[in-house]
Amino acid sequence: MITRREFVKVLAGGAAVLGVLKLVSLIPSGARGDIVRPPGAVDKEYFNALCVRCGICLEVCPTKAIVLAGFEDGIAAVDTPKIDALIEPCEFFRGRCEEVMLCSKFCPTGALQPVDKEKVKLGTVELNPDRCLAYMGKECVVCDEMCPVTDAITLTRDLKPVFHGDKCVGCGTCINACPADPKALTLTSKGAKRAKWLR
Amino acid sequence: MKIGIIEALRAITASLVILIFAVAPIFGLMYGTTCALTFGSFTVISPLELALVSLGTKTILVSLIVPGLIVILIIVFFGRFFCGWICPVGILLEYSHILTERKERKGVGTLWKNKEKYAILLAVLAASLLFNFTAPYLFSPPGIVYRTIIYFISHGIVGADLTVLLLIFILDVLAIRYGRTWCDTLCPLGTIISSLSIVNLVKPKVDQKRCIDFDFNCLNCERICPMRIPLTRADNWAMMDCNKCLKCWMNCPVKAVKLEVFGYG
Repeated sequence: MITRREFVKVLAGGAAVLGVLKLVSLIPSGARGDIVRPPGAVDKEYFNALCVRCGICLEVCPTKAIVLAGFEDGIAAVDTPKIDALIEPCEFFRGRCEEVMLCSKFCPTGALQPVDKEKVKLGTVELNPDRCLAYMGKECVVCDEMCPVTDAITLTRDLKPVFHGDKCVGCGTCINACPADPKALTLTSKGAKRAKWLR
Repeated sequence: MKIGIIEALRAITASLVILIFAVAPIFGLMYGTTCALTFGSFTVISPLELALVSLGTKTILVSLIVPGLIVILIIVFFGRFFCGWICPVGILLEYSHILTERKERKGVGTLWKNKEKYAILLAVLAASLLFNFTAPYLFSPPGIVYRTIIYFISHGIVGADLTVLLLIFILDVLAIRYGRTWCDTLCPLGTIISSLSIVNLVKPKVDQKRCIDFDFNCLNCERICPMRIPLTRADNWAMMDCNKCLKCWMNCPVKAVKLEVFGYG
């Protein structure tokens, strides 16, 4: 039978584990705390809880744009899907995804939801003129040519790109194509429009 | 320790399942890992993930009820069969004690031993309910292995998973003890499977008339059991941990261990 000592020992063990988990959850996320999610991702407050890290979205993505978040993205977000434009941009807006959004169609928990193309905004791309080849006097309009959205990037009269944050959908196509080294463009989740989670 | 036919069979089964997880997505037959699996229109979800998601969001997810119940029903009948025959981490841990030359267990514990895992499972579930910390990547070891493999095959990247996997092995090696320490005292996924295996269709039973423990202090079955079940005195609760490795059945010197199916041997 169970002795009282054994019972107390087990209870103490459970409390200790809960304490450790609380401490682990308090570890601050690194500099890259904000994560660019695939299209259709639900609100920030629910996403980490809803995602079961099954890896279905990264398998079904036809362009392999979905990668897994690492420890630098925060301890609660490890292995959740994210878009890393330096590896592969999200091609949803270019139509290479065949307009079906396989990631959200296959997501078993609804962490990624099917949404209208017009309502999606993954984040915003920002330009650093100090690194941009066009601003350094060379001829380069790659970002403007690659951009799938009309008027998100406009060119000035002397062919320098200007980014319009309100039109940008944050797919990262321009970053992936940018020939500057280091890249002149950065993608953040600023202004991202997430899907509403329907319980 | 020599490796018997059934041990080899279990290792082959586990390797085959890894192969299926790696190859099926290429042909579009099946996607996902043991956390959640989808065959196109048909989806299943692991009970641990179902519990974590429901507690973390404090919602009953209607779309997950059927996928969850299918798995729970299988577990009710087959129990920890998954841990003994499919989970790659469990089988690797079982063989790791050959390398580290662990001492075989001398004494035997009480029926209450190994039950700290229920407290750990409750702590894990409470963490997702109380402070919204759901980290299925930490608590589902087979999922970690399959995810690492599918991620490497599709993207060529080794993610954060390898670190977590290493952590499990370190935990297991630190507890220098015979058998599968992670599985029988820590694993939250294994514990939820244990606690769901109510029917537990197949389980070994010691025939007290044949057993020579009383005369010769044999206890070969208890010493060899990777889940450290006190087989000669086990009740149904203790038998819920049985992972159907059949070691006790194969190695009893007087064939006193019978396989009981549905209560009939």
